[in-house]
Amino acid sequence: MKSILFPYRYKKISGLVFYLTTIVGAIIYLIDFEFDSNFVVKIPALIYDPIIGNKNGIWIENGILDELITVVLIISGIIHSFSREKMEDEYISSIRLQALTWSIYVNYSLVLLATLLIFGMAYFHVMIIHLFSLIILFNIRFQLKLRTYYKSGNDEE
Amino acid sequence: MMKNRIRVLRAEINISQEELANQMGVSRQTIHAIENNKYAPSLTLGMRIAKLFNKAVEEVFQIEEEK
Repeated sequence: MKSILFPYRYKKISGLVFYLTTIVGAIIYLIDFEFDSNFVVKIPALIYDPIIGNKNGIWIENGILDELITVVLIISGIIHSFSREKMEDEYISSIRLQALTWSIYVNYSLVLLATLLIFGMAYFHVMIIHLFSLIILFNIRFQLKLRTYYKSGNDEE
Repeated sequence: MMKNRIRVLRAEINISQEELANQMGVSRQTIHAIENNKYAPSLTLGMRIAKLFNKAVEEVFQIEEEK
């Protein structure tokens, strides 16, 4: 069967970028950083809310740090999640699938809970967190399961 | 539940988990998981393991009915 995974050489670097961006992104978000008034550049927009920028055609002025963090976090997260292991085999594929299933259950359970219990502007924050929670949950679960896997049977021949 | 005799068969021809793993193109941890019934291998891997031991698949792997 043809592998649709990324090569193993991307695993470490994408992991480093992913965890670093997650931490930096979380800190910036928690300190209530003014995304719209920092790192402002003119960028093209397919759809835009006139409140956030001028109306010169499709060009808007926008602080790009949040877009930058989002793009880097998602791309590095996907590459890290779906890079081959050094010795990729069917058991690791099975661990990956189980971790993905688990993270979808947990992620959407949390979203359901939040939908029923959180209202108003606070729910906007839930949506922001939800952009990244699936890939973060999946990565944590998968890496923990891999750690257990690599430690297994060390006492045997 | 799937049970297997890989550990016994391995001992008979005196090969380690590592050697079996290398011949099958999987990791030693995967062989360990299969031997301990934590993972049921694919049909392809199961057949390749049986072939290495020169046995029929059902001589290496058995389905045990859960009670």
